[in-house]
Amino acid sequence: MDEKFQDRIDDYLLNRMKDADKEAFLQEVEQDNEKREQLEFTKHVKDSIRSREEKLQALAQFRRHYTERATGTKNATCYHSVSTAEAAPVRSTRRIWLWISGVAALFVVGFFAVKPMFMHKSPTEYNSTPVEQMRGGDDIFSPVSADSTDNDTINIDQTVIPDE
Amino acid sequence: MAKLIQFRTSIQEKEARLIEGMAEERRQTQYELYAYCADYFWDNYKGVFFAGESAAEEIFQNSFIAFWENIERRKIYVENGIVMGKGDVPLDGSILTYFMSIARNKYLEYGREHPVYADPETELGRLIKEEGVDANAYTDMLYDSDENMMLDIIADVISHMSPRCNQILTKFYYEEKKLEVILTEISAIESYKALKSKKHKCMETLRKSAKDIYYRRLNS
Repeated sequence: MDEKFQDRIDDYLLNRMKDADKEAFLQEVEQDNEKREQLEFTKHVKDSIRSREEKLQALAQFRRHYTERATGTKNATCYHSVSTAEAAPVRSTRRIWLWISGVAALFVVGFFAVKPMFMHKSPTEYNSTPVEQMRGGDDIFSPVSADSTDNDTINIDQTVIPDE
Repeated sequence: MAKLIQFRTSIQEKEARLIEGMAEERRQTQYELYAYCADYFWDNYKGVFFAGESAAEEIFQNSFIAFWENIERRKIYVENGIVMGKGDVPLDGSILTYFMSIARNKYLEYGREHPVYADPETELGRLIKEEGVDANAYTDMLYDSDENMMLDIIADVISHMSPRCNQILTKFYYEEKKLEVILTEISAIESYKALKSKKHKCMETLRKSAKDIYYRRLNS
């Protein structure tokens, strides 16, 4: 790469060349492929650096805005509009929902775990067996005293006439 | 003539709107796309990359710039509400997948430039060792196949420049400062001659790297 010619290319691209010299320079370039290639290459470098720098500056703004939203310091208003809500970073929102879901899950699990402890009453409060409690106890099914030698509920005085 | 009816999901509609807005240089949409990619990247990069926060930040930044430039050069664009990709066919998958593919390639490049990350013990080291860096896949994603190829290559090579070269060339070509002024701003360089020589070496290195990639691409 010709260093001296590079200086002239730079002068041309950065508008530091006199108009009279420009014509001679362009003619020279036109006649020499290598010089033309060197000019094209430098143009590309200049354009690429400009493009990258402009984007880096924009990205610095975006990053600041994004971080402010993510950390909850929502004092930046440069990109506000209806769709900003949609554009807002959802990382913090996701975290909030994760927390809410976690707390809700704890409540549900806790409810089922703790409820039986309060529902279950001490067996001493009941004199009857669990089966009797289930069927309603003596209020519904009155107990019949069992037969014994002293208490015979079968009347043997009744005459039984067999079918003939 | 049969009319082709394309059904699009709300996500596809949103992505088409974002790409269209980027192409039209709408600042708000540019931020929206940035946030859309950032949300996905920061939620998922740990599953894809083995990189610290600062390395990941650099990878994200370079990937987003490459993505942005691809939109500007219409490598990815919107037609009839459909996001189109290479070969003028509808993009296969979400734009987030496309973005993450660029990020993965940038990540592999990062690993080559920072050997500490390419330690075989690390996930990146294993990837580079087992899969290698598929240069063709990389260039396919980033470089055009037409007359814009050199511009694409230079844009990519510039993103890998050394900080010193980046500083000198940015001041010279973007800020349009004269070498005499730049010399006063970079105390590490002692003389005008040294600065001029350094600038020339930076341009030579850039040119050589870009040419190597260009000819490798042509021969692939």
